[in-house]
Amino acid sequence: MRNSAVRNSKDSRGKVRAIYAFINEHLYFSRPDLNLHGEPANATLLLSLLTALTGGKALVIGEPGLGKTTAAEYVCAMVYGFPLGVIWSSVVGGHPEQTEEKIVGRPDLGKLNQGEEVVIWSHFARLPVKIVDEINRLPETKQSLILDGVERGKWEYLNQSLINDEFCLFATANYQDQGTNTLVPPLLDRFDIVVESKHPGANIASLIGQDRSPETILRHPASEETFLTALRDGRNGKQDPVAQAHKQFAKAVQQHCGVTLLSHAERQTLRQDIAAMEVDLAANAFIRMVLSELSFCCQYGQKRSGEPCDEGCHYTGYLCYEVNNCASNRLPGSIYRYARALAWWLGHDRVEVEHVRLVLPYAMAHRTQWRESYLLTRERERRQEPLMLHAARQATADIFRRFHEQQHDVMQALSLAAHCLENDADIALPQGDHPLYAEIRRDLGLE
Amino acid sequence: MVNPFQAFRHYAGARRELPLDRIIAQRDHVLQQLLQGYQTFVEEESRQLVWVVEQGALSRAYTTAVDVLQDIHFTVEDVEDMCTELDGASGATTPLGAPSGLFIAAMCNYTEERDITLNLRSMTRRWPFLGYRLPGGRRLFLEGDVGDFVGALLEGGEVTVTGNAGNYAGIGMRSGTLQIDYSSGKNTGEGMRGGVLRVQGRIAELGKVQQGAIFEGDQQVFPAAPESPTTSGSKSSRPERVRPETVQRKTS
Repeated sequence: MRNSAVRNSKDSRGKVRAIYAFINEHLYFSRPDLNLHGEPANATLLLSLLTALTGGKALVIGEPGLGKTTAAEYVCAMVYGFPLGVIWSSVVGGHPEQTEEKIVGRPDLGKLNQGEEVVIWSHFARLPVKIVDEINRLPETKQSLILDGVERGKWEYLNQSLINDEFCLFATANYQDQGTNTLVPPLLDRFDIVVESKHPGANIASLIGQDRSPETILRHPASEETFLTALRDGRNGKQDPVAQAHKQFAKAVQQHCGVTLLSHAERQTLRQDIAAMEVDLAANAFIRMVLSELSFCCQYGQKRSGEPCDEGCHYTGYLCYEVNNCASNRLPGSIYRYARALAWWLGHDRVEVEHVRLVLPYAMAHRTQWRESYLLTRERERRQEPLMLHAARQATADIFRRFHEQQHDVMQALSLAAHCLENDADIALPQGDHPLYAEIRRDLGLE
Repeated sequence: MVNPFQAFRHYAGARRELPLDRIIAQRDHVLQQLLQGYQTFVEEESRQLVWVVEQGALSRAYTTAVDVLQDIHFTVEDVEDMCTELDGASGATTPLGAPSGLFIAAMCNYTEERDITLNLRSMTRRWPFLGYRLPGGRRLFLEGDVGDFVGALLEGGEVTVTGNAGNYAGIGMRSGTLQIDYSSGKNTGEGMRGGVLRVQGRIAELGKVQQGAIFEGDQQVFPAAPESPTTSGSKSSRPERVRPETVQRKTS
């Protein structure tokens, strides 16, 4: 049984890797910008794929026309087995006139005339694939419309609710222009990661458009029609028409592209495998160091927006001095989710510090409000990424350096704290300068 | 209450080892070997009862030093450490003028690195014979003042002294370059049979030079420039020793 599970997991990984390779070679031309144990990869594509697999939420930023939405569409089409036509029908565009009726659902007017309140849910709400295009064109007041939906996959309209058992969310955002709005922090925090869709470079870009439109590869009008009809009419008869359409589309993709798509069951198993992946102690300690630096304040107890700490604080050298807000409780969840997915992708049996280090900048970049002086020092540095990601990457490198220097002591302190708390014993904890030591002392009631 | 540290309960990390600790231990070990070798060398030389600076004694002492160093793997940093150790030594490691200098010279000639820099400014002792028999392809930079016999029997190497040199600089050198940035003492270039000796400052007195070239500042003082073509023919083929009083001085 166990062997079978392992084999299935390996098979699934092979399928997912084939999907990545196919998109990378035929649909989304990109330049590798990640080095995963010697294996080059494109962060946008890989993190989008991991988002779709794990049911995460990704904010894809970038200049107009650099493939933010198309990357998400291709990934979702191949991971969830929907032809592009169906994916397009579910995409919600961010614009000031957007309404709840267009995003979530609308009353069935025919039934309403007969005195019945029946909601016709939008494709966006019904499909597991959710793409919000140009989310920052939604005014701040309308961003709350999708807060709950993107958080839990729970949609409500006219006292009726719809809960998605599996879903992933992609939102794209352009850089600031006259038509964009600021994304409110609660909405930003709901995204697990932020990633930039970069220009692939002149040489790769020159290949785009030479061949037939890549979109035609994943279009399949026959199954699209079946999907759309099934979504409109619901289950009609003994066989589930959506499942039938999935099979039809998967067969077409297998024939034309040579790629085997994942079934619903495979996705579920794969998700369970990823979620069950063990996190090793060093990675655990590293995450604790990260969280302590992003939430600790010796003066005010914890970081709070609007309560910047004073100059000359003892912890000036740590990130807690450089940030204005507190790390949310969604941050560790995002880190674990993507670090596990990355370890699974690489075929490793546990999450190690390297996995955490790789995903951390993407998980913290959009959630962290940096002190202005910190951004000013980072702004003019030579970089390959937008400032928010660059600052997060540098911060990650700083924390990792500290972790590397103090790893043993920190883990020893955590171990002693475990004994202290369990036996209520009076054990002298190792003294250290890092905020994590102060957090341990607080947890043990020593401060 | 949840124990948030539970995962670390059974953590028993290995004692942290700093790379620096390993490096220091390694260097300590090498230094001990060198000191032991030096002691063997000194004992061997002590049997000669009286140490006299003459060709036979020099060769014998140098050969002994080379034999002692043969089985020790040391770096240029160890040479500096050894200098420091000998400079402050008392009792266990007996610093002897000439033998100590020869031992350091042997180390310079047999270390793996081709470029060796010794900072002598902080040393109280002025080791003689530094650069002794330095072979071709090696460069020895001596920062600060050096003692007597620097660059003795130089064998193609390049010795640079950033300070002053003592007496008998470049004695018996065969080939190579000895550069002294300030002044040199008496008998400079004594018995020199080849190579180039450059003294940027003053040469107190030239020795009996046989061959090679010696410069004092920009001026070549050996072989001395012939006064006229007609008189040069009557001179002996052996270049005449140039006495300091006959050389136009350049004050540095």
